[in-house]
Amino acid sequence: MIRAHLQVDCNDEMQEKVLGVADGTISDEKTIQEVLEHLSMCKECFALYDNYFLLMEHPELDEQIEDDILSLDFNIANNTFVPVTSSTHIIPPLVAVLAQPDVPAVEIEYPFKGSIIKIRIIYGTNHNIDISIYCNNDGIKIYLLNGSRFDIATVSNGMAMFSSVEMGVILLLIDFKKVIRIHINN
Amino acid sequence: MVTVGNNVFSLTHLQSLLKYFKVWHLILLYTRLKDTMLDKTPEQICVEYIDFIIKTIKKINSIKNYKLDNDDINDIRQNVITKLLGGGLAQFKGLCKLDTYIYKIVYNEIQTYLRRYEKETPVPSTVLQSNYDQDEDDAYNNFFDYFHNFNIDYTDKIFRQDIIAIIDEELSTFDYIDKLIFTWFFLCKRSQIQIAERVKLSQPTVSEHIEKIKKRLRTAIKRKYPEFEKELKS
Repeated sequence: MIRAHLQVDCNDEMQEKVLGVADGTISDEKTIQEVLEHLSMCKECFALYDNYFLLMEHPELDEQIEDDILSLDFNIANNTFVPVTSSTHIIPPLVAVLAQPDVPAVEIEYPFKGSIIKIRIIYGTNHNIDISIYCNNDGIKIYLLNGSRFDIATVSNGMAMFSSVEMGVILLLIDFKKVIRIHINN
Repeated sequence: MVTVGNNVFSLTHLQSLLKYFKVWHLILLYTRLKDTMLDKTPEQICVEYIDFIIKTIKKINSIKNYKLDNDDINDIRQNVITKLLGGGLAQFKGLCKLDTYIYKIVYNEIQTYLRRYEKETPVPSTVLQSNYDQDEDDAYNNFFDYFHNFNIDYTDKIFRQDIIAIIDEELSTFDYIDKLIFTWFFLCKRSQIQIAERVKLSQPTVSEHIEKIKKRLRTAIKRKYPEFEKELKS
């Protein structure tokens, strides 16, 4: 077996340095030589470095890879949620069962594990929103990421809820299997 | 006056408490940002980079032909996000770009996942496949094609091991640049332009290194097997 590499230990900082040379953040000649010398000894870092270049060398794959995130954008105007682009997942306002009249609300339907998840967004107090998730499968975990908030809610009795969510970009991860990104501009 | 349990608070008391908690929240937020060398929280970074994370997993899967299915990809995505939210960004020192750092986390998580679940070793099927994932002896076969004009009987294990030993011995005398160029050119089959980008040299310089490496290895083989002088490519 040809032994092009020795097995050496490397730490997180060295890996970051290796990638700093790869992406051009590090231009100092001495550090570049230090990193290249390390690559000649460390198989793990060699693979990390080489794969970085392989990714960069194939931008055509970016377009071929399907985006499986559902992205929805809304503006709030005239006391309603106005979708920026239409989507079959957004229930028309006439059909949506709104919590209260005169309160902006929108409903989204999304297929998940053979059933439908319904997400109801209601404009609440202090320019925040409340998000209710309705689903037949109890036990499903919904993760919410938004600004500096990371919350988890478990569907119980067909429902999970997040209150006082800041507007902006909200990411909902359904059991980490599906990702829904909702952008609300006020 | 407001009653909470058995305690009675005045409104000003409550306001000052609220102010204290707001300041404390800001201090906590600042500490988290300061630690990560970033001006964003891990949550914001996850939201911003979710597309990048998914695309990077899928792209590595495609390039390396790892045969990860949707469930595998979802599991890896979950591990990456958990890592990012669980302090993974606290290690970031700003030595590379943030997206490159996230690539590192994704890459490492894929490797951990493949090891943990003993996923099938990648099958070389496309030109994108790199050879260092294969058995290095196979890479050796490719490599030797550069040097000979005759068919080697690869079943002759003694001869084969002898040649490998000669290469190994000669390789150990190479400087690190030549070791890298040897690995990329002969074992990974990268082009001279690709190698030039990786070692931060010009393509003509890389070409010179390759010729020098060929010459040194040929000389080392001839030293042991002078009878093959004619068969070894000049």
